[in-house]
Amino acid sequence: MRTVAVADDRQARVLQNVLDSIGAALRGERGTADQFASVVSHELRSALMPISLFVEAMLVDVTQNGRVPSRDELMQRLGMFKRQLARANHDLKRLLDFSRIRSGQLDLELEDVDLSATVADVVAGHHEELAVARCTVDFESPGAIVGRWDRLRLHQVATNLLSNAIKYGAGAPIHIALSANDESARLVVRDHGPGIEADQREAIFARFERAHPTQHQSGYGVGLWVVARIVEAFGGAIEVESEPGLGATFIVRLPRLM
Amino acid sequence: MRTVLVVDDEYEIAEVVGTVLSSRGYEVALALNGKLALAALADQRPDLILLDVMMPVMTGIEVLRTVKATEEHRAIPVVMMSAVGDGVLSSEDESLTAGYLRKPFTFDELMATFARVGL
Repeated sequence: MRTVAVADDRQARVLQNVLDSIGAALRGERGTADQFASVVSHELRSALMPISLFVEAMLVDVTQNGRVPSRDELMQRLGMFKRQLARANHDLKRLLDFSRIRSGQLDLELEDVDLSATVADVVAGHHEELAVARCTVDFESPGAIVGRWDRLRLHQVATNLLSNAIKYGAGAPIHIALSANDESARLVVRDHGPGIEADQREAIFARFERAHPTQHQSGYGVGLWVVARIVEAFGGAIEVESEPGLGATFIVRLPRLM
Repeated sequence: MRTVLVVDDEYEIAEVVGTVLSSRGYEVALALNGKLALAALADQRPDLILLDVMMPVMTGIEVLRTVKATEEHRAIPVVMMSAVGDGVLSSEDESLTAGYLRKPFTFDELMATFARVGL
C-alpha cells in the first residue's frame, strides 16, 4: 500500500472528495448487482412455480389416488402445461435479454416483419388471460405495416406492453392502435389502470424494479426496461403519457428502415 | 361444493392453482387484481380466499383489510400468498389471516394449508 503525503488542507479535501466518490460508485454498483439478483430470483420463481405445482398435482393423482386422467382431461392439461412452458420460456428469455442488454450484447436479426400481424398474434396469444382479466382489446390497424426489424424482439415489445396493460388495467378495455408513414411506425397501447405518477414516468424505463415489500405493490419488473432497450436498439423511442387515476398510454415509434 | 376465490396478478399462477384446485373438486373463481376480487365477492361468496400479497392497483393487504371490515365477508378465511418471506405482514394483518403460503409453494403445502383451514 502506498502512503500519499498530503501537502495542505486543500489537497486533503480534494483527496477526500475523490475517495468519497469512489466509495459511492462502489456502493452503487453493489446495490445494482443486488437488485438485479433480487429481480432475477423473483422472476425465476414466478416462472417455474406454476409448472412444478401442476406436475406435482398430476403425480399425486396418478401415484397416490390411482386416478388416471381421461383423454380429454389429459389433452386439456397438456395444453395448459405447454402454455405454461412457453410463458416460462418467454420469462427466462426476458431475463437473458436483461443480462445481455446490461452487458451490451443485444444482437438484432433484421428482416422484413409485419408489425400489424405481430401485434395481432400477441393479442390472440393472450386471449385466455384477457378473458380472466376481464379486459377487452380494441385493436386499430391500417393493415400490414412492414419494416426491417428483429421478429423476436418486436414480438417481445408487443408482448411486454400488452402484459403490462393487462396487469395494471385488468377489468377495463385496452386500446391498441397502429399507424405508419413511409419512414416510421407507431404502436400505442393504452390502459385504464391507476396511471403513473409524474416522477415515475421516466424511471419505469430507466431502471428495473422488483416488488417493494414495504409497499406490498408489485413493481414493473424487467419488462418495460427490456422494451425500452429493444426500442432504442431499433433506433426508435418510447414514452408514456399518464395521469394518476387516468390510465397510461405507451407510445412506441420505430423507424421502418425500408 | 366448496368454492375458492384465487387472487393473483400473475395469470400463470392463478390459472394453475385454479386448475389444480378444480381437479380436486373445488369450484374456483379467478381474479387478477384486488378490485376484481372484490367484484367477484359481490357475485358469489367463496368458502376461502387465496390472496396474493404483492399486486398492482390494489394490494393483497388492502383486499384483506376490506374483506375483514365487511360484515358479510369477514368470516371467510383468507390465506395469503407471497414470494417475500417473513415480515411481509404486520402482526395486526397476520391476525386477520387463516394462513400464509410462501411462493414457490408445493402442491403438498397448498393441500396442507387447506386441510388446516378445514377445507
